[in-house]
Amino acid sequence: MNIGILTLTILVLLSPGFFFRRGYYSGVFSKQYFKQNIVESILWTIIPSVIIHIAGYSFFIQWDFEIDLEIFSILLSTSATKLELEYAFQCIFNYFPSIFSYFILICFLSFVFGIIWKKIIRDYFLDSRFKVLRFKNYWHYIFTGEILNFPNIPGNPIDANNAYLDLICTIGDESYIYRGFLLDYQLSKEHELESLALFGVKRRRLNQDTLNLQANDESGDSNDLELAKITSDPYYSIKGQFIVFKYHEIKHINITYYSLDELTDDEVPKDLIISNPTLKKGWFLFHMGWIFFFIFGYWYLNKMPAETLMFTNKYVDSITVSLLSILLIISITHNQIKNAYGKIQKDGFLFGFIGGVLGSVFVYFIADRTMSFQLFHLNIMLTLPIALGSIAGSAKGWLGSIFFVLIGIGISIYCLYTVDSGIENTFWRMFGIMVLGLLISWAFRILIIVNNFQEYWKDKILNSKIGY
Amino acid sequence: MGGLRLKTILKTLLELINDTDKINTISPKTEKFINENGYSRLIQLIEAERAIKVVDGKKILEDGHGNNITLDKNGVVVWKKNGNKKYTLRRVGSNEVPNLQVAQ
Repeated sequence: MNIGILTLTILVLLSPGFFFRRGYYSGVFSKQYFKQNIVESILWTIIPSVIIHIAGYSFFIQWDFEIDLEIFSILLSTSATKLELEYAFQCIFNYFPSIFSYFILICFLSFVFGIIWKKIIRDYFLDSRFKVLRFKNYWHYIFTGEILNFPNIPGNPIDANNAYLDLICTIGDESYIYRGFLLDYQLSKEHELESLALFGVKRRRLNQDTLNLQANDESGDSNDLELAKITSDPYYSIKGQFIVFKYHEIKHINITYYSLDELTDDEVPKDLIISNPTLKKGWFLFHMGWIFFFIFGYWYLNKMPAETLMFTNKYVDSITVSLLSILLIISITHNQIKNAYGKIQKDGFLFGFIGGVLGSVFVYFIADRTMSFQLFHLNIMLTLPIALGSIAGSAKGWLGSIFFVLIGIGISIYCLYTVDSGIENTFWRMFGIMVLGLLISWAFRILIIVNNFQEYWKDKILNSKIGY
Repeated sequence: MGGLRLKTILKTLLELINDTDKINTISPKTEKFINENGYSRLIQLIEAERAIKVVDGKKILEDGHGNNITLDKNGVVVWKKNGNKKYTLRRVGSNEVPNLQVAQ
């Protein structure tokens, strides 16, 4: 009986799933990583592990290695003999550097995919909209205002950037109302609220309303409760940095979400300031996308012979990889654009997407009719016009879309005419594509800056005409 | 990638793998406001917002909340700090009440 080896083998095989979960349950949802039921564990560990291993096999293993199923059967068997185990371990030892590198690589990629998956779910509020994807830290949704995005709950969570709390607490026989801004909260291991920290706290006795009312009645003044509250504020401030409340001492919590904004009529628009951290982050991710294309393309062209297919035929193959690339680009840029502009122009996005698809079909037919090509180039052809058009459209409307769909088509045609049968110049071809990508990103940036300058000066001229 | 530094990458990685369920629920905008103006000013704005009354279909901000705190045309609390710099504080959902005007 070698239960230990069986367990160890399963653990090693499931390691990508553990890393995926570690990436997925990070940040404010990290406690959920340690506490899950069987169904969730299967959902978020075994399934990702299987998918990642299939992808790992497709991308890394199948070109140079073969999987020895006999070794697996020995390691997963509880009745393997000592001789069989020695044989299995000897085989593993012989290929240890490759096996070790493979697991390190896919575990790292699993962690990254976990983070990306979480980012997609969080950025698009999928966890708020679909209960099955919701994290267990329910208080996070309440305190951040994301609960307003739940179905049937009115309100806009984007506006809710602060939570102001009224707590009813009992001290001895007296009940008090405390009010203040939520600073922090702690959860227990069971995801229950353990404590709350408020700052800028005021408090009063719960029955103070009644006392004021009685006082006003006796003096013959108005018995308007609202007026009583305003004219004789029964709250008094508690001095200190913040105050911590144990959850079991709190009877009720009233939450009000506030949106605080700074308006500067005469300030240069934020997007003109290159040091704007949001833009920096957006451009960093944009460039990361291009670097990904460069590495992926270089690997793809070197590793995969032109006639090799991942799926059934070159059309399905190209379209699948293209769709994945589009999803990747849109997912990493969508939120940045939203942050930089405050909103996504949905019409522009749709226009860019449809225009990009038509442009891609156009390029695709040129490619298909005129010359042989390699799959990655076809992927770029299909991906670029759509992705660039839709990104530009979501930020700048349909005019931006047209501009970038045309640029995308131009790059695609460039890719098309640089294709030859050999792969000796792969590096320089990919380098050329990357440089063009960088130029596009800069063109995009320049477009934003020019547009903002126009709006800025338009406002200035308008203001000067009406006397501001 | 001019602004990218090793420190930023490390900080991001640390944030991603951190093990706590802590969260600072104060938004960056509010934090900046508190740093510049003090939290008592923020509380003052909150109290002003809570003191808005509706009389004859019009929103009114009672006296006693001076210090350049007023209501704008949409019934949102505005604090004019100086010159052209001003802040607005709005209760989420407060603009969902229809047909209310602001008393000037």
